[in-house]
Amino acid sequence: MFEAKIEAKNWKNIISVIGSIIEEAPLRIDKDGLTLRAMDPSHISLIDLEVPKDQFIDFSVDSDRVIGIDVEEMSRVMSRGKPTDMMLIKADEDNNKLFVTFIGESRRRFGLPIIDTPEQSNLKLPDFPTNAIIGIDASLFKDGIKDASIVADHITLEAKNNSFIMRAEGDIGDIETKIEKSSLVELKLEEECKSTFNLSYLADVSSSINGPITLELGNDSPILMNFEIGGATIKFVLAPRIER
Amino acid sequence: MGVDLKDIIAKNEIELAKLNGKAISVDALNALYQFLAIIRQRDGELLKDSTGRTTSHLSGLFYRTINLLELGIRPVYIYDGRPPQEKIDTLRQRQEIKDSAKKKAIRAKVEGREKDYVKFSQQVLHFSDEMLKESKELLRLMGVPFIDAPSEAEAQASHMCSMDPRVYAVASQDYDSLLFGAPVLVRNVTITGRRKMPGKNVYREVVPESIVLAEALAALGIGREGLVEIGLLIGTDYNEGIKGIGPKSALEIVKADRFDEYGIEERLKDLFLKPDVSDNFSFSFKLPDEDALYSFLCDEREFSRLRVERAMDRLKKGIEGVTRQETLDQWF
Repeated sequence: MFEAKIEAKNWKNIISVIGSIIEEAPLRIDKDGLTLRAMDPSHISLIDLEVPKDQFIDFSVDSDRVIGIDVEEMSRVMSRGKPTDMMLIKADEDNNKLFVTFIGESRRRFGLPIIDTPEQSNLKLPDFPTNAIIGIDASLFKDGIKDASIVADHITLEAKNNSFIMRAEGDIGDIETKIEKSSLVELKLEEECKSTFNLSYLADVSSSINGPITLELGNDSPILMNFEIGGATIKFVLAPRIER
Repeated sequence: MGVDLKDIIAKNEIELAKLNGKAISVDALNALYQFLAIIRQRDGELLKDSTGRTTSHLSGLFYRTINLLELGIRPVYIYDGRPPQEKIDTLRQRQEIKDSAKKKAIRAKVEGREKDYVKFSQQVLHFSDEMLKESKELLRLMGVPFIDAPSEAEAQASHMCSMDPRVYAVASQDYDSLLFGAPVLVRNVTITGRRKMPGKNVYREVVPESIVLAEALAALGIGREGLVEIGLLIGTDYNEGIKGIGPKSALEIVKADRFDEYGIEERLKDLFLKPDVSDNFSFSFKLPDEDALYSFLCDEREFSRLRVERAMDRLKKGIEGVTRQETLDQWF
């Protein structure tokens, strides 16, 4: 038995960020809340997501379980929720169904299949050296990403001399965004460092973020993005692009 | 077609994810035929645009290639050049079989025998020059490399697999590439997944398989020349084979060193052992030409725009992935 109540807009944001990385999600439910850790099929990015029990309005589960959802189907359902709706999620595992009920002026119940998606249960968080920690407001970060998208499909992130630099270079031109420490939430710099990343992954993931993002950056190594969405604590790891 | 060695060659199921980061040389025509055979409408008809042009092969090539790229696999498609003279007779026979199947299919359709219609129409599969040309055009727009072989595609694919450390395996449904010396053959790669059985309402899981030539030869206790001899005894694209001899008895004959007794011309061996191949090949992946792809698939051939849009995103990421993108695997 699993049943939870959450604000529809929060769940919509959570699903949207998951959907930017994977198509099928094994959601692990236990007495502490809901967690998900998965890599995309090409092993380029990883999402580690945690929605603690207290972020739900109601939350009850009788034993640990994994519920597989088709993220695209779920987001299609979520697009039907209204911003002020409450939402009830209920698993009927005997019939392989997950019921999503929007509670507003009416009660609208959607039944979705629970799918069989293998949990990557032994998946650890990747371990890599970080030389800088950058706290940045999502809007600044997203601007840098959008600017870069005009000229290129990848972006170089660099931390040096008390500033954070986002730089992209393509066939038609180049662009550089420089953010001084004073405009950042935080900047801890052990050593100058830079790495290059695929823009579409960063754009997809950051599009639903509104609050601050903490970036852990190294030299030609993955980037770790920490942020919160809809009550979920999320770590997103993206492997670098290497010029060769 | 090809040589039928499945009864004596042990294969291992593999996960496609294991091919992450590796290139595979794909027998293009072999893959395209598979798409024509399995990518169908509910009633068993080929996918077609409103002008009646077949699009099953393009649909398969587009979506299945993207599936591979998404897993970090780099497919290089190899197209046949001019077949050896010996193959032309075989090709003529195949045409006769097709002509007969076509008549049967038409009769089944007229008489309303759906299952028979599907069965026979799958045997009729015809690949026109135009279809080959447009498949190459699609690959070009997708940014996926293809190579024109001087002669047999499987020979060239096998040669590339031996020569180029980037190429891990040959992908084909046929076993011929083992005769051509491919170190690794992978089967079912482009058709992995749930597949509806023709004419029935039954699904079967198609799982990729891998055959390592050295292991297969060791298990049989023969060399590659021996395997070619087995092929020639049971029949290949170049000869009919000896009537009444199957793979198992062929293996016994070869092991007993009695191949010479069957009057098969020695020079046929060289078609496999010294095929006409080119060292002069290179391949690289490029980002797709999105506008041209939309126009090719959606405007000209009426593919669903929504589906193509979704796939385009995966294609871009996939291509990006196989060019310079690292994976996280090394950081665990």
